[in-house]
Amino acid sequence: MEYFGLDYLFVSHQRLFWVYLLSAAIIAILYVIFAHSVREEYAKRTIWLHSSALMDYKYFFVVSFIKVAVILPLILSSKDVALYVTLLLQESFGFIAPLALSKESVVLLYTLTLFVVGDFTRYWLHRAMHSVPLLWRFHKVHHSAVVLNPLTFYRVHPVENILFGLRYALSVGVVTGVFLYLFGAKIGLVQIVGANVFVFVFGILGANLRHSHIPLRYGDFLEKIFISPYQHQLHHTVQHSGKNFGGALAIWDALFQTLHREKAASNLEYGLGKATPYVSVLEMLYKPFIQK
Amino acid sequence: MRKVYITLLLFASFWLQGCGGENSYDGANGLLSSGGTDVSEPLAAIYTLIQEDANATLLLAQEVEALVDDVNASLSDFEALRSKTQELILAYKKVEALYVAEKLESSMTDIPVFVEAFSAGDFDRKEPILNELATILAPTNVTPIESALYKNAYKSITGLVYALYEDQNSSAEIFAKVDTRRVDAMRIMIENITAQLEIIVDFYATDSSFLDDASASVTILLNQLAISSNRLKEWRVGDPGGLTQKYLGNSDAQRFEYWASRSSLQAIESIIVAHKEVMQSGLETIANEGGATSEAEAIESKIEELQLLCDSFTSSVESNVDDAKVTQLYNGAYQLQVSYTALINALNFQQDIIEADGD
Repeated sequence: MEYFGLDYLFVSHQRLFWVYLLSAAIIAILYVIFAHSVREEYAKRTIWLHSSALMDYKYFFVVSFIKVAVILPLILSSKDVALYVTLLLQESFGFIAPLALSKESVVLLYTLTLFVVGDFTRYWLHRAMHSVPLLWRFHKVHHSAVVLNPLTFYRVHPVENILFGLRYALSVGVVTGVFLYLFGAKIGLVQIVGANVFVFVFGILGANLRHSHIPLRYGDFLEKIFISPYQHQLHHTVQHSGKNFGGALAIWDALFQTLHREKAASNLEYGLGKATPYVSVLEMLYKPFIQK
Repeated sequence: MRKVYITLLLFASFWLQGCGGENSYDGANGLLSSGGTDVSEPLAAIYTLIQEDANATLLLAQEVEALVDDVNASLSDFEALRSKTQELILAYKKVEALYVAEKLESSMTDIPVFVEAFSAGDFDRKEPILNELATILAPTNVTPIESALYKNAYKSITGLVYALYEDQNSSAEIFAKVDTRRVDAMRIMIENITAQLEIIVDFYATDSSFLDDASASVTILLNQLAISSNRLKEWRVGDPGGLTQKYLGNSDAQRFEYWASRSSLQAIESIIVAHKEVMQSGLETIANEGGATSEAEAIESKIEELQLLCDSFTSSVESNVDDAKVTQLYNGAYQLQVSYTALINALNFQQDIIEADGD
């Protein structure tokens, strides 16, 4: 499969894993069948072939080159961070025999900690991308999309890619390093078809609908715990772009007073609220460096 | 035409994304828990090694047992017992280094302490035991020897070594002290050691849990090797060399594990050999399967260096406690332990995924 280059769709920890796309499609179809307004939205509005969507596709292609050629070699490895943290702890507090907690408990705890810490750091970096003017220049590329589709997820400036890569390396590295120090080789992940169980559940529950026009809500109570696709769609509106920074969990938004929930509507206006500052992929790449 | 162009563009993009393996939402992999890596064959080879080490040690214990009855017949018989006991100790060091039984079955936890009291690595605890043994073995002591040796520690290798060497005494000196009481004591000691080794051998022969759950077994084995290398560094080299936090700048050769028999260096080398054999028998393959080839190579290279270092001693380590080579041994053992940590870390990240997307 690797030779045909489609393995990206078959790797369970990728957002575009076919199971997640399929589940998103099923949810979307059911939604369209039962929600008249959404059916109308998709009928009257050009979404898949909108110039913004076409830009997403082109950008996805170009940024793939940049990631492989430039970003990946630059990004710090979480493996190196983990080893550094473990050795630092051993150096500071001495080697300890792995704590007497069953492997099953360690694996569960590690899986949960990775997910929670990862989501927490994602919240804060995402919030910083909005609140720090220099970072907003780059994050604006993502918010310049006026229609949403699963590939909008990848409409991210390479500078932001690097920052999120560092965030990932540091959060996974530190958590793993601490667990390695405390539990040695007992470490492991609870996985479903090879993915962190929480990532899988997040994927199945419509992660790909975050960037879509399907206003899927989880209900008032659950939306205080998990960010629904609709909450993320609200974040893509000008009015609420300062709200709902969460990745999978809404608890950070609730805790730090950036949570926003409202009744589902299918006619949200996405983008920056003015004409898009980018008319080409090239502009999306260089303009953030020169334009405030 | 436009749609064809878009389709081709998307196809090419997927290809590129697949090449990089980036963009995941999350996903450090667990220790050999994904990717369907089959390590049952190398694990079986490792288990065979563990079983063989235990069997060989039991055989040596039985040979020692057979020699005890004639120990007071002649000086050469006494020396033969000393020599066989040395072999037993060195063989047991391998069993101890790879002792995974306690993590497979909790009732096996205390066995190493019953075989060798120094397994706890606490010299402060060892010293009173040796003093008590001196009293127990004294010809003037009228307490029946079976009752006097009531503690497991008295009946362990620690006790047997004391009965055979006391304070680095020569064969002739100790042989002159060998009376019926001491012979009986040595018999009780070796019978206890044999009985404990039989428990270990029986366990490894009958328990298949090591082979049933590969992921758990790799975990147990790697943790055990990291612990073993740390004990090598701390207890066996650092404490006597005055290199640990506890004894910093205060070296004392008597803290060496086999100070009395002057065989601490051989014991250290035996542990290193056990590490080498476990790497060669299957752990190297497991590491390679898990994408940790360089980490495995680092361990093997460190083992090689440590072996060479041991071989470079021209006399016993007990008479060279302040030699720079002891510090080198300490540092080498530390690097070995770090290398195991690196291997555990590398196996945890079979695929070092990078999540580089915003949201």
